[in-house]
Amino acid sequence: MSNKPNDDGLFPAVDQQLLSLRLKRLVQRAFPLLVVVLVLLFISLLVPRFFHPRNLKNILVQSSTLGLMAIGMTLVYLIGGMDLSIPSVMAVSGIMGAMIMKSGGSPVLGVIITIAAGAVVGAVNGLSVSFLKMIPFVVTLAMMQVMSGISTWVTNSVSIAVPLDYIDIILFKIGELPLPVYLFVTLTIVSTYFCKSTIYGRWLYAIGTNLESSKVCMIPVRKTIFLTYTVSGMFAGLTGVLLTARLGAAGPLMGSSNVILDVMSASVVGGVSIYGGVGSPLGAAVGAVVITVLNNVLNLLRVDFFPAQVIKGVIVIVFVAFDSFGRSHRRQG
Amino acid sequence: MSSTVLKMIGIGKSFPGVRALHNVTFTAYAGEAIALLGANGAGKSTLMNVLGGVIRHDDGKLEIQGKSVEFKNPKDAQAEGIAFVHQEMALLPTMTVMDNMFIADFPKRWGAIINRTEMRNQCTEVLERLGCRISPDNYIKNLGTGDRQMVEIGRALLGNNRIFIFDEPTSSLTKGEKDNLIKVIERLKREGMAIIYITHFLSEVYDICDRVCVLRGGEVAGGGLISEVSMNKLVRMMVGDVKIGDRGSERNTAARKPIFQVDELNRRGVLENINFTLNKGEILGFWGLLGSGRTETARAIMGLDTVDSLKISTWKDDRLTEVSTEFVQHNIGLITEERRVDGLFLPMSVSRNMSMANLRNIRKKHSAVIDRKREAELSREFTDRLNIKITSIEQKVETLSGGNQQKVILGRWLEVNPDILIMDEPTRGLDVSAKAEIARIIVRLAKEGTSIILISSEIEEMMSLCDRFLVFNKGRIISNLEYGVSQEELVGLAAGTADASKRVMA
Amino acid sequence: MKLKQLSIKDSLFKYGFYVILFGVILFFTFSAEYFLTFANINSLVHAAAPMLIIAAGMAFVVFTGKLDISLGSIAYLSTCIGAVLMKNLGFPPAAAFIIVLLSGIVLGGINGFIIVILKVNPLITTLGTLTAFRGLGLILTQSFEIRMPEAVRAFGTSRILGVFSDVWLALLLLILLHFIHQKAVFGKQVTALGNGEEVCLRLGIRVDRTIFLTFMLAGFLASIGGIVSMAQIGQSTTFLGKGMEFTAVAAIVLGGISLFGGEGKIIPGVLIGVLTLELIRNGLNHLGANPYLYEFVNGGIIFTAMSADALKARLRGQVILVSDENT
Repeated sequence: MSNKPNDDGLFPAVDQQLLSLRLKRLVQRAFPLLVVVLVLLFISLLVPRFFHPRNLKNILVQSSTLGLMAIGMTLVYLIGGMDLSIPSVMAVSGIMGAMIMKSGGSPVLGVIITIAAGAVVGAVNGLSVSFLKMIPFVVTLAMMQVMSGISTWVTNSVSIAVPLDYIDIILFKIGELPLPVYLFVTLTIVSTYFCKSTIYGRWLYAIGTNLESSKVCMIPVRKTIFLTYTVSGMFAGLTGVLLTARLGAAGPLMGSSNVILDVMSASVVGGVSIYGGVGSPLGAAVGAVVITVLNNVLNLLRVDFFPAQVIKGVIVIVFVAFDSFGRSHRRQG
Repeated sequence: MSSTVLKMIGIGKSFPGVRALHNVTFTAYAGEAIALLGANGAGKSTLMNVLGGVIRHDDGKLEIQGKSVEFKNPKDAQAEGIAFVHQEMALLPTMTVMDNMFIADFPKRWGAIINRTEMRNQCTEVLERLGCRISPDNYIKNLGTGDRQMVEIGRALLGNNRIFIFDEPTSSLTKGEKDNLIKVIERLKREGMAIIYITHFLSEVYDICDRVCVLRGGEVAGGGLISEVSMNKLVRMMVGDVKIGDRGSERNTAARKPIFQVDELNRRGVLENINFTLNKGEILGFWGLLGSGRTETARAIMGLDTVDSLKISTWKDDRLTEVSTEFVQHNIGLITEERRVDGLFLPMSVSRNMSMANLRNIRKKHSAVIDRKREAELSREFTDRLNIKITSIEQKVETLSGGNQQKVILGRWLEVNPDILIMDEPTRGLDVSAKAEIARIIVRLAKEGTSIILISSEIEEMMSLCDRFLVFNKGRIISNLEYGVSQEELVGLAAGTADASKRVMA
Repeated sequence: MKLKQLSIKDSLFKYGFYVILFGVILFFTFSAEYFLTFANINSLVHAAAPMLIIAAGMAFVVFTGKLDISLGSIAYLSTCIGAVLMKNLGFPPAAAFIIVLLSGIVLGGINGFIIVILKVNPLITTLGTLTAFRGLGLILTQSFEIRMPEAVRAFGTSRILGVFSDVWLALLLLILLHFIHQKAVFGKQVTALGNGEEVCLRLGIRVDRTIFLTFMLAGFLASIGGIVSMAQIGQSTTFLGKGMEFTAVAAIVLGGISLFGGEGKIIPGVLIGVLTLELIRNGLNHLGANPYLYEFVNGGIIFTAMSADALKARLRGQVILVSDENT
């Protein structure tokens, strides 16, 4: 269990009291997640094929795309924002890349275009939120509509196949596992380190905790907010690269609005607060694995897609309700 | 002599560690206005909160029209006909005057439909009683402050109230609006209402009120018919003759070396042509009433609010050079008034709160990575130096007492060690010992060469700490006074009674 | 000088919506044949009828300064319940529809409960129920389409005085809701909430109750919209109500109802917004445009209208600031 967001570097003189304080906080934070993990573990014991190596590998590969989106979302959550456009941006940038490659662009160009497209849309979100002062939820909701509109429009709702050499590069296997898994693990570590140990990371927590205090502390608030949404868009673009390769094609369906629920549940299950200032990319990554396992188990148990959606909708609300309750309690106490 | 409407007899109230009110007797008569005066912390708001049913008193009793009453909550007070006209108005900008007056209790038809004729009639009648020419169908968002206040008063009139409490009603009114308000209060008096008028502007008291009651330190310091009390006597009642602690010989007045200058600071409707110079190691007091432009000036300098014009310069090698706000941001620290709102990061640790403004300086070489060891060292150093009582630097700030929280913010800026530190009400809400401790830190900082701008509403604190005073009044600096000025003069200037023209800066 | 500039911008914002509507009509009248005929207009408003009703419910939520993006799913789930009752349990249509309306109220009440009692942010709440309600509906119908009895189908295409009956129903509801918003105590309280809950509490308004009722009302109207839509199509389809919440938001912003709450009117606001969007869709159809283009245009409209709304709110903020602090 190392998904503790509050785990800062230890100081030489860690006394007993401090240690127990931290342990208490850890248990408090991780308790809901722990319950979910135990329940899943219990269910997966009932499912015979769950521990089949191929299934486990599958889970890892699937978690990598969900995980990258959840990390992008977490950065936005940390500053107290919201980005509902992530899946649709992912689809549009994947489609952009696929179109470039279809018209003769090299796979490298395809990758660059895909990520850049994500960054551009993210930047538009960022501009709207930081400089136009629009409500993040509404801006990104509208952006999600625009993006899914674009993706059905330009593709006429038909997927665009990507070249085989592109797929070979992206899904290149190192040992047993393909590249995306390594990318996911690396980016989880890097972004967690970024959040926990750099000034920019500290600024994210500061802005999400108290915007006004952040301004007084001379943190460049607007710029940071703008860049966070841009980075979130880049993560969406990167996910587009991986998912296009895995599906062998890019189409509007890969960014369907159901995905956003997975992204949100991954983050909140991983202990990230939608109210800002709490959580870490590592938590979101663990959350992404949990949600993927949940999807997998429900799938193996032949539970329909729709009940699964209901369960995830309920998970999000329950976790956020826990968070809201804890907060209002603390405010009164 | 008119009849007694309200009698508060021997009211006492204590908060943990503080005696807010002691044996206060206060009487209001029908058809008369009584001014309630006192310095900050004198107990005015506590007394009015007792009257409004917001807090309960420990000793004494309340009588309304000879009948003994007890208020358990604000509703009880309202039921007895007590109405507050607050400075901070409770209005709905996107709705009409009429809707705003009746929103809590519409006249109804068939249980749920608003009886508009009835509503309009009542509204028009009330507006007429107020001599107010706004239309009931006007939207609040299109009204000026004075008219908005009329809507609030109108709402209070609707409820058949007999006692009207005005809390600093004129602080954001224009001259014309103020005259109108005075007329309205005259009307209310003629209708037999009892008016309680709280203000800092002493001249108004003579225009509006018949009686006065002055509180000091939670006790009645004097009062009576206004015609029998001179303004000087009022000021003396408010200030008292308490001995003030003094920095004495430590005071920095001899060789002044200017380091910082603000010119032509203007913000429409808020600040007007603010100019001043700050010297090295000086404690410069911004003195004035709430809303006079002290806090606004500080925020403008820091670039936190947009302004119409501002020129900031520093002295380097005896030459005045203009600098950007960005430069300012790295060389000036601001301790804000509301530490929980725009100062602290409550759920974060002491250490993180203290390093927040200093992150750029505790990076590891050539990277954006925070040097955790350095961060902890600095936090320990300053928690020790400021004597902050914590179990560990990892403790969350929200669990600390007010005084310790304030010291954490001080520590934040001491880590940065800026040339200039602006402190807005640094001791507000702290107990006596914490206040003294903060004051000692301020003096030490100045001695070490930091220039300090101190904003405080507590006259004693200002008198004992500052080398120089700038007096703010309605968004302008009206006076520049040296240490040694009398309390009476300071209070008078802020309240707009003393003659300031002689002292306006050249 | 400065104030005058603001007021020009203000009036632009105030009447901009009429200008857009007029421009759209003008454009399609000249570029598409048959556009401005009675038959086309009649069928256009007919197609817009469900959206008119649902958007009116959304408008009430928006007046309070909140958003309910689960309305499309409420429309779907509640009609699914009705369809299943009619098909599997042989309920007569009238009884089934009463249960549909009741379930609309209950589903809206669930939103209200989560928001008011569990204190979850309304957007997260309705985003969660958006998926959950639709999922429940799909489970209930096992993703099959359920054909409506003949009586219901007949209502969907029936006319009164030459105009489709559901158009009459929608207009009647709009007038009633407009009346409630403008003249009833509840309507005033809803508008007051949009000015800030803090102030409302100080004024003694029962904030929680009003929010709860608003979400129930929106759920109720969503279920009516669902019935009308189902009667038009003649069956309960899996995509009934899908995306309707977004179109409703777009319509509302287009109709000059501020997303920041407290401002705007049902008539003409909702009417203008919904009809403008429907005109665009209808017109694009007549022009033979790519059907997928509409979704993009729709999204683009939401985005633009919202930016204008945000800008307007900022301008308004400035105006208040100036007059507030004018000493």
